[in-house]
Amino acid sequence: MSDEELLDRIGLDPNTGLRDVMSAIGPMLLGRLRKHARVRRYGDAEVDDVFQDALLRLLRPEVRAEIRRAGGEILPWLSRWGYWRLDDAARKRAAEVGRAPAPADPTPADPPGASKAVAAAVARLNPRDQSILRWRYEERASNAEIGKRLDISEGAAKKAAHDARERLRKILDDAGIRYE
Amino acid sequence: MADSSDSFDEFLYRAYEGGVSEPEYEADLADAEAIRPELVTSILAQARRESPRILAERIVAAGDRAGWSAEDLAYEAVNEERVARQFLSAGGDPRQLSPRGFARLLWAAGLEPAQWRELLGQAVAVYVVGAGGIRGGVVWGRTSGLAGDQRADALLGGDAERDPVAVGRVAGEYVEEVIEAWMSLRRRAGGGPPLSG
Repeated sequence: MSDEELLDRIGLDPNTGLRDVMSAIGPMLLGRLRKHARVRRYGDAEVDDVFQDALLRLLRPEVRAEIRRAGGEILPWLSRWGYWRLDDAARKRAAEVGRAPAPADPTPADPPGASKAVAAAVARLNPRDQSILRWRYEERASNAEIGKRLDISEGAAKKAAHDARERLRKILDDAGIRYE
Repeated sequence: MADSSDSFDEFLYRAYEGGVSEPEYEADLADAEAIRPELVTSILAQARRESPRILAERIVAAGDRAGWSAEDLAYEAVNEERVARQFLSAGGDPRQLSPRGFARLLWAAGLEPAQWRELLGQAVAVYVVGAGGIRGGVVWGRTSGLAGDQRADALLGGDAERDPVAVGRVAGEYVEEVIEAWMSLRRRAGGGPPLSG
């Protein structure tokens, strides 16, 4: 069964659809999330929860629409989302125990350095924000175009783009990247 | 002098022009891992609750934006207030409400069919039993005398012969009735939005 058919099936009957998705890509997704947590030394504690949350996201029609617009492949999309969730949870845990790194001294980013710094910062954003920023700054998409891709109003797209940019700015600020 | 937003935008345009590569993950090369049966059961049980829960949450949030509390919305489902209140707070099978009662909730919340049609179909589908339904003597939804995985399978619709198209059709009938009732409310209101609370 193709990914497109699996997405359709969830819309018709979430019970069967999710069972089929688990059967088709579940073991791969779980393996990836486990490895990501181990490579980054997060431990296994949250892997099952993130795996469950990732699959349950497929029950949201707008998430299925987003996956279709991103090319329709379920495993890469859920993997990216799951990696982000594991990274985000680890960052929050570190911040709670005061292990968050202090902001570095501002460093001016030269052109090649800027691309590298932005790539590293973008990797810490959720997949939706990553897409929005790519559409805005690489493809120079308007708010109307972004809204169309996300199936939201132009006003909501403007806010989503603003929020994504501000989240990126905070990561860059915390990393001491100077962009003026 | 450009403000900081402008300079940040310019910085980002330049960075993306230089090529912001997609992140690469070592974990993409991981081996598959078997999923524990308990985890499968837990996910499917959660999935059963999730669609009605998301729908209820969206109705309450939309009502809130329009100035209605959940209690106000439930009050709109005339003669079905108690069931409406229960759905909005705890989810469950939307069909506990008549199509007209459910339409009144959605109408009062100011939600258009495009915003709830698919989710309502899903929320109903998880409670559809018997569409394609008897396999090896197990009837979906009937759990007496069953335990463990068998009980979970009976609750969740078994693992083989549940026909998603048939389930979707049963759910779709209720959705169409709700849409019809919603359209009727709109016609009565002269095509305009519901009054704010």
